[in-house]
Amino acid sequence: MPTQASLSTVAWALSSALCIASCGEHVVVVDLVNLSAETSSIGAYYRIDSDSFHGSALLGGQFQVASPTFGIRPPADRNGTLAVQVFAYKNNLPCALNKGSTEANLATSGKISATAVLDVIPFAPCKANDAPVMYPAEARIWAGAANNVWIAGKDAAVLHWDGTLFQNVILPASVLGSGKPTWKAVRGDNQGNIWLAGDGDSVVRIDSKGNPTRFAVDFGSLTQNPITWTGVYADSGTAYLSGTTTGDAQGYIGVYTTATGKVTVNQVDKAPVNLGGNSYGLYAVDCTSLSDCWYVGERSLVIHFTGGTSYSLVSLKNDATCGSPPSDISLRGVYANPTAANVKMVGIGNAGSGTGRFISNNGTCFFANDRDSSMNFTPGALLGIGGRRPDDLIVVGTDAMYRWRTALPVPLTGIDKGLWQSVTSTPSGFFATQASVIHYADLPP
Amino acid sequence: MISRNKHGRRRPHIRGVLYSCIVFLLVLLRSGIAQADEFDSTFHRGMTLYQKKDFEAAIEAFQAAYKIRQFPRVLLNIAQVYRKMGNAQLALDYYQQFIKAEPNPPAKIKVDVEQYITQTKAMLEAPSLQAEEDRRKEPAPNGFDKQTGQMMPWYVEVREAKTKRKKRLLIGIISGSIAAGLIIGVGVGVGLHYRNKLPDGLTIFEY
Repeated sequence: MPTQASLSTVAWALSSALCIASCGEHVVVVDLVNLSAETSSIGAYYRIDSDSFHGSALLGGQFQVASPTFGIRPPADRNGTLAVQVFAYKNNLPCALNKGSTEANLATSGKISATAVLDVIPFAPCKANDAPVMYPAEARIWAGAANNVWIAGKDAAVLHWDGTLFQNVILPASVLGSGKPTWKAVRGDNQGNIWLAGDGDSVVRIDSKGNPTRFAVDFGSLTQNPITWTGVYADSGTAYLSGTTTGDAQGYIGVYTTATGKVTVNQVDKAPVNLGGNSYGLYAVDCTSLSDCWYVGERSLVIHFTGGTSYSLVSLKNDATCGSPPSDISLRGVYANPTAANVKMVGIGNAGSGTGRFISNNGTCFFANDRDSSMNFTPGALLGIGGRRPDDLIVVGTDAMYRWRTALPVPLTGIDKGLWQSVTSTPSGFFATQASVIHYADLPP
Repeated sequence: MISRNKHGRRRPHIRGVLYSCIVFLLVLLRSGIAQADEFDSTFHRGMTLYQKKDFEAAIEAFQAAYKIRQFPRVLLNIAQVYRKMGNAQLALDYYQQFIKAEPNPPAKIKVDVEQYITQTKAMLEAPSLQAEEDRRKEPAPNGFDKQTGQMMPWYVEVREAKTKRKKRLLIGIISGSIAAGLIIGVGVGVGLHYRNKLPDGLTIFEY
């Protein structure tokens, strides 16, 4: 009898083994429950045990809203637990409609089924901070489109949103230099490059293929402390940067050209800028072209560059009467426009220790205003400005956001308190950053 | 004793003889009645035992009855019981004794008895199941000639038959096991195939 039993066991095992070998793939099949009917893409982040998360996306046509499912093929030699996080998105925006998670034990062979029951999340405004990636602290943000958003901040952290997934961009040490810079500005150009500017003289360009390059800073005959680059604008291979030196807060303008292959530094009170007087730190730059840039900084400093070596100082006034100048304003943000009257700025009164200031042009002069549409003072500093049109801007600052159209800025309600320090717009809305938070809200026309 | 003389007078001794005869006949009659009662009870006891399927006791009762009265039907009953017991030879003996004792039985009984005789003869000609069973149980050494040590011809056949039976049994079990294993394996395989079948058009991410 043992002979017969073993024979039948062998036959059974052989048949089963043959089937397992040829009948089924080792794939974790994840079924999604409660997927929103509005979903246009699905982002999936997954890892085995304590690995780093991998990210993959399902675009429209790769899933059925009625019965959404996808597979993950783990390495053949890996056991452990596969953890999966799923986010459903619409319109390429990083605000999840649904999110959920599931796990699968990889010890078994063949098809492994897992189900992620998705929770419904209020769509917008939203905090796009659910994905298992590293969100930069002290983040600055720039959006070329809803599906091309870059966030950069402390410790050289860079994060990219491509419309379906967040992905950390890890820059090599050869690009970062001696330390991990804090990025103070991020911006794309018309060639698909992304420019990062930060402390320690750091200027890095990531080309459209993802290759990063660090550019040397040519100080010429100047000797000074390291520069913290605070703003960048790039177009057609040329980049303009605003900066301030560490310690003595001297203002500098940097210019990168493809021809030089490096950043040439110009101190604000020396040729070619040569505005006379003292040099104050610069905190932002915005341009409409390579021959129309606005630099702003400490002590109400506004420099208008119009090409070549043409730099001019722009004076601010204390109010719309265009009378006396204001007390020193630490200007932190600028929105450029080919029409000078449409250029707007924001900053902090009393040399950076007061409440926020909105600077606009009434056709006669640029003047400061410290009240919103309700004639209330701003609760704190105003640090960033951006928008899709000169008559539809968003201003962010301490504990507040404003929508600034033609009249006085209107406070946006339902906004978390905190230090909102960067803002960027898309045709449908805007992004703002605070600490490690990315905020998105639709903007009605 | 009383007798009659020549003058017609009855003699006392003749009357005595007559009386004696009468008494003898009465005793004889009395004895016959007692014998009939004993036969009936014994015969009926045999019938009761037969109905209870206690065949050996039934035969003893019928044989006892037959000693009391030699009725042929008793022989017929004994034959029937032996036939029921499967003892064809004794059954046939008693059927034949019945035919001798009752050469012209009623037609129905005659036909039945002839059928019984035919059956018992057939039983005798067929191999005995019991004998076959006994032969199977018979230990192998008994199949060897004590003097020559050679396997006896009948035992060779038994051994060959046993070997063939074992082979057939083994082949049947092995074939059955393999077939069952294959069927189960294929079933499991088909089940796993469908369980492991990935949905059509499934997007799979490589880890």
